[in-house]
Amino acid sequence: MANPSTKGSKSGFVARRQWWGLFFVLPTVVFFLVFFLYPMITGIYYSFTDFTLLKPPTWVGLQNYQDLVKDRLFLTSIGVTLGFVLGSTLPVWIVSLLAALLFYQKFPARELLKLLFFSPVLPSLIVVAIVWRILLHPNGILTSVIRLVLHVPEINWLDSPTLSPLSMILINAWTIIPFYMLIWLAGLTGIPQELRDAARVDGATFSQSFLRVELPLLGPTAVFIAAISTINAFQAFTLQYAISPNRGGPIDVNTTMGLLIWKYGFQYYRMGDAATVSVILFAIIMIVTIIQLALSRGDQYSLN
Amino acid sequence: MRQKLMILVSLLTVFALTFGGCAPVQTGGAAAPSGEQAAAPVTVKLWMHNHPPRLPLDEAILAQFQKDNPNIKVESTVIPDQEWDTKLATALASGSGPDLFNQATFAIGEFQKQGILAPIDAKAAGYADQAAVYNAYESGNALLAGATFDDMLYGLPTELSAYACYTNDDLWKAAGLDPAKDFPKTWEALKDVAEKLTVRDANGAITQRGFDFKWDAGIFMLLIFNAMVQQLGGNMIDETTYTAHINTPEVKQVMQYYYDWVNTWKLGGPQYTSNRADFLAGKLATDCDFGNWGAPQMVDAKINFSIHKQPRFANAKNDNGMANYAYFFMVNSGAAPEVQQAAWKLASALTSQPGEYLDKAGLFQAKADFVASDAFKNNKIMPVFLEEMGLSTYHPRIAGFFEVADALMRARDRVLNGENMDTVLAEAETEVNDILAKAKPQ
Amino acid sequence: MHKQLTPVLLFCIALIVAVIFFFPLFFMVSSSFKAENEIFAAPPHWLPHEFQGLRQYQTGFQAIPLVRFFFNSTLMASIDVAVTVFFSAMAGYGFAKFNFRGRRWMFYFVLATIAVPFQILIVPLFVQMRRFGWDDTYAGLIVPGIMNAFGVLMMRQFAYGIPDELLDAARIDGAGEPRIFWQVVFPLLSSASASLAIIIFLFSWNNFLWPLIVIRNELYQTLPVGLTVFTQPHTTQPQWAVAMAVSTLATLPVAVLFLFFQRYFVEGLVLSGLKG
Repeated sequence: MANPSTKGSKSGFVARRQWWGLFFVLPTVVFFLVFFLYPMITGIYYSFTDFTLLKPPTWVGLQNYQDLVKDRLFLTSIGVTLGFVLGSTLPVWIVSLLAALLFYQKFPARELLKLLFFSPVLPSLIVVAIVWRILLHPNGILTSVIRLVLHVPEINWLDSPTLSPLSMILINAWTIIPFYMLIWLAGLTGIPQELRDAARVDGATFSQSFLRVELPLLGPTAVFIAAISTINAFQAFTLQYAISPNRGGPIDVNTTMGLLIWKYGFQYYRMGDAATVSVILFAIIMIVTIIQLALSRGDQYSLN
Repeated sequence: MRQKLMILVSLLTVFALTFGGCAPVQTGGAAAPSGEQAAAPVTVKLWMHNHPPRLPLDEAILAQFQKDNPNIKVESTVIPDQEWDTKLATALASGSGPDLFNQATFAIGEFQKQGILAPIDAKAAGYADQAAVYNAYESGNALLAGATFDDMLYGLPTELSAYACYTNDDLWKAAGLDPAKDFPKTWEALKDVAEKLTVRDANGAITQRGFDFKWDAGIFMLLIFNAMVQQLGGNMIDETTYTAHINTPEVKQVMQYYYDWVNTWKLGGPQYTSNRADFLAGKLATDCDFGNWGAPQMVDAKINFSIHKQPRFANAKNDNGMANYAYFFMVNSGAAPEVQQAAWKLASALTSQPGEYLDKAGLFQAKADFVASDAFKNNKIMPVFLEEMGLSTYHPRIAGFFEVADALMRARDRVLNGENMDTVLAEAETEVNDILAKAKPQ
Repeated sequence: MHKQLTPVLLFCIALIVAVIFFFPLFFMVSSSFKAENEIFAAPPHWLPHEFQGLRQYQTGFQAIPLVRFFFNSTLMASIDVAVTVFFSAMAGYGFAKFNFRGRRWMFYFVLATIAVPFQILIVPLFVQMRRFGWDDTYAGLIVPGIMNAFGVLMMRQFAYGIPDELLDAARIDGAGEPRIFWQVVFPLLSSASASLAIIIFLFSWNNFLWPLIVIRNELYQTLPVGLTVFTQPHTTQPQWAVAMAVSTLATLPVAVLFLFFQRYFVEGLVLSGLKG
């Protein structure tokens, strides 16, 4: 046990103490070096190799990248992923905000209803897949609901090449809207009530008050949700794996890039190509995230 | 300064641990160090699939074999199906793979390309030479073709399989048809028969199908669809040159048949429950993609069935059924020579009781003397299977098998979905050729 | 003029919304008590017409090694929670309350890992596990996910709130740094730890991609991967009611945990500095 002398060698004492900070953070940093940085660098290396389970990696330079550009399945997967991202970001962002506004108000049984509303976040995506497979049966519950307004025999929610991607977006939205709503709520509670009251006193209507006072102050939250929902949507895998016919079907309309990486790596054991697709996916996510953050420079989430 | 050094040292330690602690990944060419001295005890590592009815038979043979061969010790491991592919590939790649294993023909192309398989040591297996092995099997040239590359044999079969057509005789009779007389000889005739066997409800929705294909996995494109193309004289995949021939009139004819089945005649399709499941549930009158292993399942499901040969096309050039596939005992080329010899001896022993294996485990091993026996001749279904197998060829044995199968399935679905057939087939040919070019042995 | 929606109207809207979002789970639980042929009944059966009691649940235990899967998931989630919470607290404290060379870039490095998509890691991590001999083992399953950068982020925010005077007082009393962390700091971070624990448990319990890849042996398989057998539509015998029972069981732990500790969950999100 160090005997601290409080006089004289104060700077030495402080300096020695700071080492403990390093000691405390080291396990975590080392962990991420071994299980994140090293694999990531190795992954990038593999993208330049031909590598199957049966033989070690052999360097092929840019061959994988060149081949991918002509790979029909890969090009389709980019479109599929973009479609899923578009459908899973803006609409989700808006709906979760509206839900937050709703649950921010006071009304009877609010906490209970909020709890029920939050339930989709809890089950694993596999459970979600199992349940929704039943709900989306061509003659199932969702079809019955549609039948209340439209007269249709059967709706192929999951087997139709046009409807299936939409179903994925729908299911995904169901699982995460409540989660983002909570984050919006957290942001809303952070806005001092006085500001709102002041606006009211000045005669603003609800929507005016919202647009001029709250929304700007929600900036960081808005950016945060936009960023993480985008990053998440680009990585879409589990839902498509579990619920789409033949893992990515029908045909290939649900083969997202995330699913393609798994397919190339662990169904066809073309590990080099899987690595290549994952590097491209990583690059796309980085670029999109940087653009998002740059566009919202003024409200940037500060990291101090 | 010391802080920087400390950081540096910790990082170096981390990297040293990560890099230093790992052995380089070896290919299957590494020598497996199991029992190297000549004439001294030899250990054979054996890996088997988990097929419960077969296990007690194996154990009996293993016990007897080790008694008869006191210098050979067998280390046997049973591996569940879903772990098989990765586990085997991982083990082979790191040099710790088994010496003897029974592998399906779907992956044999890849293994052979990597040089993992050892050609048969006929003498060790108890035969005069390789030709004698072929002679020991009924239609040996056709049936053992699955493990034959460049006139060399690389395996002994543990299970030979093909598909035949099963009819649910009760449903047939209910529709006024006699399975023995009315079973269609051609695909064209099948359409009419299926119409008679299809039952629809008041809304026009199908409640019972007369016949349907198996839509839900790509592998059937190479086992069934391609076989139909071969009947017409075509072949989608050339396994010697690793090229694809998909944009051809033969393929178009088969594809048109599939398209009509779903969209024009509306007799079935991918949107319905799997045909095998519905057949066992009594909701499908005819199913042409069960092997002989299907019979016990039907007995359990209380289906009265009979067996028939596959339909052919009216304008067929070849009289083949659906593609053959099989599981073969294969020997690791990386094992020491004495171990390989012992392995072939063991493989021969494990396939020496075709009667028992068919009877108790449903596995057909096509040994010539067994086929000539009364036991076989009196079997209700096997002669039909054997005849079909002799007429048919194996599926293409290529590296990249599953990937090609998936690509073909996607093409099929695109056509079913209404896209222009010529475009789809042309694009599929390009796509599959690219896959084959990448997968091809260098 | 200030328009205000009456509480009653709000309640109605919220009720409809909540019912819509809760319905699938309600249907899952309800279907777990139905007979198999009721699942796809048209018009739909909202509640079981032939109540099956626990029969589908019993079948669930026979259909797959459910107890084993539960055990594995619990093992993994518990270890993840314990290790993540402890080391995140330590790291968060280290980043917040100390000033050492390289602190800034180390922190940004840890933070950056949040943005890394897991897909870029699966192939190299898989190969790495084979090298370590951890392929298809508990070590391979649990260790690569045993820490979480989000936890570090959260703990750092909370650690900022610890008064320096408290720490200095302990130092003056002669306590060594490890002891200060363990006896002063960690207890003060208890509410943050609870929040992080809930979040990590949820994430770990539902984790799918990594267990799918690294484990093929049923003995070590976790719940979500074990359940995928029910997502295949072409099994010989349909087992949807059993699937519903098993799904309900799989969701129960998380639901119960959340029910009792939701306060911590919300706090964790709020106070981890998301407002910026």
